Amino acid sequence: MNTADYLLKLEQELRGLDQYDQQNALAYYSEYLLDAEATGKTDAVDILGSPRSLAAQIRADIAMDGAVQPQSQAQSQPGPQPQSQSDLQPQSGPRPQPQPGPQPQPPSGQWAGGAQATGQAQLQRKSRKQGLGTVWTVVLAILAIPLGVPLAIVLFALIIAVLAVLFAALVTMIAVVVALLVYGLVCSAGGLVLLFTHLATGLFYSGVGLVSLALCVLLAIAFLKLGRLCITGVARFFNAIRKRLQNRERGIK
Amino acid sequence: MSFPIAARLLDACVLSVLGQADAYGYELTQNLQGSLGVSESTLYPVLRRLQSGGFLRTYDVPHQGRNRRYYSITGDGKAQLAQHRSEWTLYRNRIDAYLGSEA
Repeated sequence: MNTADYLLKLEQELRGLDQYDQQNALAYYSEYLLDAEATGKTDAVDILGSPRSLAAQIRADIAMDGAVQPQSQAQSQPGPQPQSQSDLQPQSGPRPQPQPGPQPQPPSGQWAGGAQATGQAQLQRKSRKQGLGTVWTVVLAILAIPLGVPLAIVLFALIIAVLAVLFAALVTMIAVVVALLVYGLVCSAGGLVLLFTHLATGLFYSGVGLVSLALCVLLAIAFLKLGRLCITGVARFFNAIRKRLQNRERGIK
Repeated sequence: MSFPIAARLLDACVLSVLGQADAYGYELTQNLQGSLGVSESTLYPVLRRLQSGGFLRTYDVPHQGRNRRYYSITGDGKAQLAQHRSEWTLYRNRIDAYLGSEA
């Protein structure tokens, strides 16, 4: 994937984040990819992985340690971290001789901890934003009723009409096949009887009867195939609608 | 590298590299990628975190018709780096107590 496509994809995947976070990440990675291009590496996916996974990483990171705070606010919290300090207390000064045996505190905490206090605030802001989102959806839904209800009725009526037409077509097919069958049977039977009294008329009727029987069989086969096609088509159509609705529900959640 | 690099250790390394000279994202990544084997997308979160903590600041330099964002260590960043260094010495000594030379 080339750089422009990749950045476009990434932008789509980052939607919903803070404007600042989005722009910051996009600016960083567009610069990064251009620099990589200059050294001959042109496939962005090779360098950074898929846009989706990169976006997931960016989101996860932001969710972990909170949104980027404004510089002025951030200046006030440098300096020693309290938890690492307490970790250091029990052994002050360098130890010349390594001592065998277990130590009271494993020295793992100080390099592993991450800042999570700000994550809470971010989460709260997220949920408030989501709450506002649902309120807006409700308001829009109420406003859309005058337009939406008639439209829904029309759509419903259309679907019913299409189904009715298909049903009528099926009934017609069956009727034609049955009519041909009856006509063919009657004609050939009559023709056979007439063969003994009026040879020409008898031949004519039995011929017509056989032709219509043959037509009946051929049409029956064709209609069966057509009917099956119609039914599977309708089933597929409703299946697609159902899937769409399910997906939308999942999307809202 | 067979030991995973913890986030704060990476913070310390980035601060240390930037303590020597300002650098832009790609340059910095290539530098650390060579010896630590971090992936190309590792550094963005680190830089973001350090910047939001006030340890780094950025400035843009025009480069071939676009801007290149350089990262530069702040006073707070230098203090943080010094602290990381002393913590690292302690940490390394503790690990060395187990893993250091067999003597």
